[in-house]
Amino acid sequence: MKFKAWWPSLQQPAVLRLALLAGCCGLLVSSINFVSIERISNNQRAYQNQQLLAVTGLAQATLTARDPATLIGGPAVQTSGPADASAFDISDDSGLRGHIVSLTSHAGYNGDIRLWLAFNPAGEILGVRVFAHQETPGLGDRIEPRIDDWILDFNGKSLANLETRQWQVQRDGGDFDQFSGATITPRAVVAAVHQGLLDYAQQQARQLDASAGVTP
Amino acid sequence: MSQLRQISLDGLWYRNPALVQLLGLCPLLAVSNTLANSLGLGIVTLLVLTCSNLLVSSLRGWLDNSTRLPAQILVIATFVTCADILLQGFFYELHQRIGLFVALIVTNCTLLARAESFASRQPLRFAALDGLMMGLGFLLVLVLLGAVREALGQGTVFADMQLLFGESARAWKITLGDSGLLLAILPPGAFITFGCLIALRNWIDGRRLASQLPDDSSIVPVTGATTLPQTAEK
Repeated sequence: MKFKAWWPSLQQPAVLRLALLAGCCGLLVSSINFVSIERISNNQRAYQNQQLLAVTGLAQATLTARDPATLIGGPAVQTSGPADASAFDISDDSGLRGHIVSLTSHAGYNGDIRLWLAFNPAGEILGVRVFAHQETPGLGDRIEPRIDDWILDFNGKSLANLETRQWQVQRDGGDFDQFSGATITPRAVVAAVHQGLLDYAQQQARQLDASAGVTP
Repeated sequence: MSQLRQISLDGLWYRNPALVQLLGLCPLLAVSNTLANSLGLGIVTLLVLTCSNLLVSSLRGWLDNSTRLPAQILVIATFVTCADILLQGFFYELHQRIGLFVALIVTNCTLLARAESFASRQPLRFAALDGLMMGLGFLLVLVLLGAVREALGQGTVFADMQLLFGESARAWKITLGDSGLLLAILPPGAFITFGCLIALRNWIDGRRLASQLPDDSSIVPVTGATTLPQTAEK
């Protein structure tokens, strides 16, 4: 072989050669990582923005991260959000269009169900999307919009146009369909969304009280 | 020339890594629920296998027995990591779906088997062709499995191809039916479909062997995974 000439000589100890190879491999990986890292973080951001915009149903909007505690209450009162909850303000040219917040339900059939809840400042739902769950394929996974339209039923609902009793699946006397063979999953999602809206309303009232206290 | 032909046929048919050697079944069964996912993982595996074969072959005079295996694992892991990073950079949404199994290519026995049993003893061009053909054999089985499971399970073919080929490929989707057979999407469906594919391959191979026998022969040849029916068809 021609390239043997510049290969290090065959007398070197085997371990040194392996180390040399490992060094070369590490160099290759880190240089590829170096040139792609910015692209990857852009992709991550674009992907998340795209996912979130799909929840809101808006074609163009700007998302600004904010503290979920100021939106749906601090950890003490907050029952539906996990410690790593995130929240965004949605705004476009015409101003603030709403908020989006991540919620977690522990009431799923198989582990936590995590979802995005988007609503306008009046508390009317713009959209709900489940982004992480381990519900049974074919039964509970109909909460995903690519499988079933069920999750779109939330659009336009609010505490004002549905009573507390209606925020349940039909089997429990509420307004939302359950799936045949899987009641636990939709029940968990409906309860989480309802709780999210309640938390938001409560936080709004609290802020109103606070500002009323300041101005006599 | 005949050796190149033999290497190609081995990879695609006689010693197909998936259907005959039954290697790399974990990603094969887990990812093959849609054609797009299958094609994505198949292409990555093909590229990594070819690159690792090439490098292992070019290092073959330089490593001794004590360091050969760790070096091969190192080479494979390097290419898999590179592929993983590049996939995140250029096919982010595809990576969201098959990313876990891209990282697991390192543990795909096909790669180490080809590196150790073939590439580490063969000249560059043979090793490259072997990687290409074994990878292609794996890819074809993966794609076939993905197509069958997608058609049975979701009633579509070529769905989500935009993950691989850009937005214009969104229109490639062909809808065959409204709903599908859930079983085909679930893991048992993967095993059943894969079993049928192996059976089909063995049946075709059995007929091929049978047709090669002289009419009055009572000799029953037995190869790797192929058994011939006692009554050879004429």
